[in-house]
Amino acid sequence: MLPLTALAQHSDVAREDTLQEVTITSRSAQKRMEELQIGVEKVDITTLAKVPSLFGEKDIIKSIQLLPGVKSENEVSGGYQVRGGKAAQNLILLDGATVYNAGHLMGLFSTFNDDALMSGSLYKGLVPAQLGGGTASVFDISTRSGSLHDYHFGGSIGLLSAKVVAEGPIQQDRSSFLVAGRRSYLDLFLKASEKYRDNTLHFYDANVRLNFRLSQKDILALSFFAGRDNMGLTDMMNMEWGNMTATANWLHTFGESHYANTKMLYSDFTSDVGIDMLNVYYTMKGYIRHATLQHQQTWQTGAHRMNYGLEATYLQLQSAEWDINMLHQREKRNALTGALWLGDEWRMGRSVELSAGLRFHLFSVLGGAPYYQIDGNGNITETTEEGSGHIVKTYADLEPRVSAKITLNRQHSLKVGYSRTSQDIHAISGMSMSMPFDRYTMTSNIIKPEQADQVAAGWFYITPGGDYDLSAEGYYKNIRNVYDYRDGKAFYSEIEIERLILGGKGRAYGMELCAHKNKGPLTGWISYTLSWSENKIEGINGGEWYTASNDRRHDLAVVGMYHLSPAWELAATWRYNTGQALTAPSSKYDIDGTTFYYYNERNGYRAPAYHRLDLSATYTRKVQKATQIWSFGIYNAYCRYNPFTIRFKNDDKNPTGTIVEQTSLFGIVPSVSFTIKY
Amino acid sequence: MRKILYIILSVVALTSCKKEIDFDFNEIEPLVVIEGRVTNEGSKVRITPSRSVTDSIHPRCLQGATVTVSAEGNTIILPYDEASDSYYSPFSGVAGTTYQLSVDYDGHHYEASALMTEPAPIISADFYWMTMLDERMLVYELWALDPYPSQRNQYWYRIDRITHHPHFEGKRMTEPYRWGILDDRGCPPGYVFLDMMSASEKTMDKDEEDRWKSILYDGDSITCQLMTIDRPVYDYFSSLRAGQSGGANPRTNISGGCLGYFAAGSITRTDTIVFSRSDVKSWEKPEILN
Repeated sequence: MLPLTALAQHSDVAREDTLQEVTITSRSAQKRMEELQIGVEKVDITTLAKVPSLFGEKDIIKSIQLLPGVKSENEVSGGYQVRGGKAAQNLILLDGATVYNAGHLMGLFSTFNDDALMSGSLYKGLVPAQLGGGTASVFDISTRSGSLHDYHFGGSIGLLSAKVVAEGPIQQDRSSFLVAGRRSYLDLFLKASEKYRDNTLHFYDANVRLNFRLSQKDILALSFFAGRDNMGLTDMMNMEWGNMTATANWLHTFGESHYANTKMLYSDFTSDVGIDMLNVYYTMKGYIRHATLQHQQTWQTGAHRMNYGLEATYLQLQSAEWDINMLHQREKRNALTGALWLGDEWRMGRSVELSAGLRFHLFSVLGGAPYYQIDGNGNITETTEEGSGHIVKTYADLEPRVSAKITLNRQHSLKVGYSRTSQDIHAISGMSMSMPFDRYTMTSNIIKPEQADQVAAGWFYITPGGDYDLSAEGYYKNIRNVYDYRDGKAFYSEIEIERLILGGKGRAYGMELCAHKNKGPLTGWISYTLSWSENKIEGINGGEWYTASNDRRHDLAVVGMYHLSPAWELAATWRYNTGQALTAPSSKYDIDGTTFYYYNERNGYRAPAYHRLDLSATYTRKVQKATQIWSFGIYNAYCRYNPFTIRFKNDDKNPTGTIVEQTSLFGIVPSVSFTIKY
Repeated sequence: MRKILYIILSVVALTSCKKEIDFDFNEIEPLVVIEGRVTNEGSKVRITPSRSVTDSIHPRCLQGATVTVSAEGNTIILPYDEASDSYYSPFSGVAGTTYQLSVDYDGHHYEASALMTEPAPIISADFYWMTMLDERMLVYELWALDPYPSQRNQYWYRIDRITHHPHFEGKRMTEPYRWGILDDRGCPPGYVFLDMMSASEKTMDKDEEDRWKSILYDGDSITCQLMTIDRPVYDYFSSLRAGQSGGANPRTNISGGCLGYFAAGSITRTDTIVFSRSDVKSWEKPEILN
């Protein structure tokens, strides 16, 4: 085994902070067995490239939805739900910087280009002390460093987009670069059409990573990311959104067993939507900006490996700035957030390992903007405005994190864990799926930090030869201060978002089973999740607990990859889940001659079950120095029309009185892409 | 290139699908629905039962209720009126007055109050063509005077059409052509406007049965009524519309455990337009917004 500092200085790991994350880049069975933290999934980018995908666009966000405990919001959404949480409760970090709404084309594809990625670790609510900010999960994604020795170039072209990647040394063995870019080209076809030429429809993303070995003990890694979507209907309507992140990470090694990471992180998520039609002129712009300074050290001594550090973030959040015809309004607020943590991984003996930590979380609401007191009907009863340097209110809490692993023998191990996590950025979504134009707000004088407590226990088994491994995990989660729109309110109802929302609580529990086949030409896994998710919000369902809209009892995913020959790789995925919870009418009534439905029970029904088979085949061949890859895919191979929406339509001409109409998005969708690498 | 675009768009369009599915509804006992209004055109309260989701028969007004409207110490009883199938009185409300509704029916008591606001005189109302992509869209535009220019005010509107087109022969037409609510936020001071999309020219030409309700035919008589309403009534209609697709019920302003609303409002009406497609002009931005 390499000494700790040698691992820390590996060129691929300059930004990394935990030993496990830097060494594990695959879902290999032994690594899974060795993992101390309960509730964590590692995503292997090479496996991702083999899994079939919609329109052939490789997608790290869609691929994690094949893992136990992770569900898609729906077929098109870029959002995913972890252990009963909502998509907005997931924190996504790209090289440590926060990314929001990580999807192109309203979420159809993820904003992350697999060519630029090294690894991803998904923490399903149970996280080590150095991570905070997402009450449902943290998805920590690392970009790849360029080669220090050789130059490589590549490009691929698919049905919707084209990608290029280039990497190589800037100075041999001392510094490197990696540049990756992707752009859709549907708009080029639009330009060719008389009818659609004035419309806009495109997305792009770009990653740049630069690594510098400053000395034997110092490595500097710089990473940049920009992703953007533009959609427009002539000059009548426009929608734009995107993320920009920049990170600088300085790794310094003090000695064989001690190193430090100092990071500067900046991220900026913006959204902009506008309508200019007839007399209606409406624009809305929002943003979330983080500027973070973080320092952490990792120190290994004997049976202990400690990680401790601190971070401070200056936050700016504009929940909206809008023009509604002749009215201009804006709500923008600032905050300071900080954290101090100490974590220790302690090998207590041959069979017991403990990861324990404590995170001290601080959030200070800053002045410079109006703050309100709101009555039960959403009316403002008092307004205060303090100077921009003043602290309006501070929240402080301690978040304990514990995970223990008991190795029973070489094949069996048990894990238990507990985490408290909190979140200060609240996305308020008017729909059952997250959208780039959801309004956001921060913890304020009256909005409290969202806070979750989760306990989990699991059993892990690997066969003696490592051919197969099995795991089972159970969890229970409580969450407080979850905010949602009041009935009848929408994002545009008032500029003061606190007038539109109500707070509540939730709970989720379930069990996840997973079986892997690790060796031989056929590899893959089967994952199954049994889960419940419930909410309680005053004013909804009579204030009683009700089934959450993301509650799905059964989720099953089967992933198979077959190495047919050196040239051909085949893969198939099949997924099944219980239908989405659905609110259906229990009665109907007339108001002013029009018929309306009455809903007696929130989410009391189920949509039909969802299942789908996707297939892919990859053909790889070497032509001199080039590697050529043809990827063929069939999405929804047996053309199951799965429910996307279910509508209830009154129809007095019909003897049934009501027509129930199901809309499905995709039948069979074939895809092909070509990649060339040097 | 164009062929490729059409192929891609066709593939995406072809893959989506709509179909009717069977559904097993959990029905409940009928609920009482009250629609109450005091306006400058009289006072009317309609009490109906809710019905089964699978019922296509519209209910008649429930009789035997005691219905009163009161304000400033005066109470008026609304008797049942066979002609309008409602509890009706010609009593007209006065702007600036808060009215109380009281309904006793089948051992239950329901009550509500609402503030009557000043009327919004209508300045103009007409149809226009608006060009969108490569087709024209029929638009109905109405302008009215805002009775409280310095306040944020709310309005309810209903557009009706009387048609003699053969498509509608023998059909019950209780539904308005369109209805909705307005908020004068951001409107030019002293004014409020409504822009309502009707149907595209292509839709009108195709004349498919599932679009007949949207399509206006030559000879249709179009009228619009605009009622000023107070905030709770606006919130009721706003949540009524928003909740239908989201599975949420509107928040009624009537206490006692019924559905419906009680509004006190001032109604203004447009002149009747006899629709003639060939007479529709192109839309131009009004001077006031330039």
